[in-house]
Amino acid sequence: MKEYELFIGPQHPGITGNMMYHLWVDGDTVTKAECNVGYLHRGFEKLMESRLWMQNIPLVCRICVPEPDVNEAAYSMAVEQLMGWEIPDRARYIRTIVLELARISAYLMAIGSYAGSIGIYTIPQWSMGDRDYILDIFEQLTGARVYHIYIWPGGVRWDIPADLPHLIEKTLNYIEERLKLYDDVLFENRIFFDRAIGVGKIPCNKAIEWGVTGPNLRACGYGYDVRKLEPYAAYDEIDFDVVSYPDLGKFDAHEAGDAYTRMIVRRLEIEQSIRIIRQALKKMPEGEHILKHPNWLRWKVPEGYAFSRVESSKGEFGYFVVSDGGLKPVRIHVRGPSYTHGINVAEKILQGANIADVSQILFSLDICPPDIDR
Amino acid sequence: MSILKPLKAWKHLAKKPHTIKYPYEEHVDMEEKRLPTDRLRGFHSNDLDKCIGCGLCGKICMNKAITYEEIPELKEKGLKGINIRPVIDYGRCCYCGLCVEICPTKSLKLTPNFKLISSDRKKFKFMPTQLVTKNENFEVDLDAVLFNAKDYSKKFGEGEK
Repeated sequence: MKEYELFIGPQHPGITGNMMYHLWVDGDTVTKAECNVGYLHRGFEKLMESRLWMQNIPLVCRICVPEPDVNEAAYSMAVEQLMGWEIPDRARYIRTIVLELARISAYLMAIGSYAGSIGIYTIPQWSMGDRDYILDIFEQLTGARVYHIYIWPGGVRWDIPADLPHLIEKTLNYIEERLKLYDDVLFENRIFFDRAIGVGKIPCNKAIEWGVTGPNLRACGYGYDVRKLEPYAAYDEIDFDVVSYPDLGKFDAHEAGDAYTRMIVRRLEIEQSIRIIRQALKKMPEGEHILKHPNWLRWKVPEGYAFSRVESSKGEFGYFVVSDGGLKPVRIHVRGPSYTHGINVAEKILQGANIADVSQILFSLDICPPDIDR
Repeated sequence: MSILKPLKAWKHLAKKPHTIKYPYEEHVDMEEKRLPTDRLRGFHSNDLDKCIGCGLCGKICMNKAITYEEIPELKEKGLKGINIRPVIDYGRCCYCGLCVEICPTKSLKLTPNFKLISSDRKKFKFMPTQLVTKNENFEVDLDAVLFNAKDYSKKFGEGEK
């Protein structure tokens, strides 16, 4: 059959947001894929150079929409490194709770959109609804549902309200109950097994070379997690497991690095996040929640450069911040996980895939275009 | 793995949905309404008597949403500071709240009001006053706000001219 070209996205429900893939197709098989991004370009990195240090906080959270807190945390950590600040213990625990709640909500969104891509439309309805209960917590804690602007250099913006731990516990119990239903409908569903096993495999020996991080790398059999290797916030004082292939708990391990394993790793990490939040709520000490800031309009950060990294639900986020001792940063470079997953990895693993599997491969990589187009 | 397990989803047929209809129906009670929390960052409120017109909120605003308007009548009242007060363009505001944190007199505040619907884009730019406070439907009482700003100038003589 003659080869033809197919454009998928940017206005297509089977694509992971505002990006496009240009596919060359032979019959039903993709022979070549090319990523086409730029629909979401807002020039964050350049824009940050013209803003004061504190004015960047409402900007960085826009780099990853489903999980904005990782950006605030990574940027704040880099500024703290430059300032030589040691944040209060209570702030470290509150950060852990916020980051893990954000991780759960991002995973619910990822699981929902993945299930939609293989035709199980019940799960997206449920997971987006359940995610809103976490957004309710964020609304009480941070004052906003999506862009929280809560993690600041030196700590967190506000202290936890007195009645919030109770609400968090209630929501976690609810999500744990719901996960059983998710298992029945998606993760132990015959359709999921038939569709996902062996599809979109990342070759395990190439994964590190390609720059794969996060759940996608753990699905390839590497127990790589920034939370364990380079603990930030309060992760060094909290007991949790890194979920990696082939140790998939109650689920069967099939092939390393395929769409099935990637989604199962995400499913199991929700349980770990719940475990982390419960411990953090118990261990949280009393005390200050933020250090005193200098006057924001005259805040000069000492000269030097800092690199901070954070484990997000998509992979590893890194911030490289350069300061010349002035009011504004000289350069900020963001290392986003979707940049490697969406461009480098997706283009390679889409080769040889079936057209019907293209969207499930993309969703199983959990690509988030804002951090490609930053 | 099972073929029958997904059928458990059928039991949701008898359950109530997550969502509630808006505008609220009569039988929905206050708890179910999911009213915004106290910390929710919505429209500003500003105590015009407490505000000293220092201009810090406009300096920290990275969206350049805050401009200033002069209220000459304030001086006659014998208030300290300059007689300018912030006017906020809600088409630009991102509700980050940096202006509130930097306010030296704590007169500028964010309220849980977040609903503002208008076909006229000029209506999104107005001077926040104290009247933008919690009301039952969490909508900005725009007439009240505009009236209050007008009323302020009326109170101090302009109306009589």
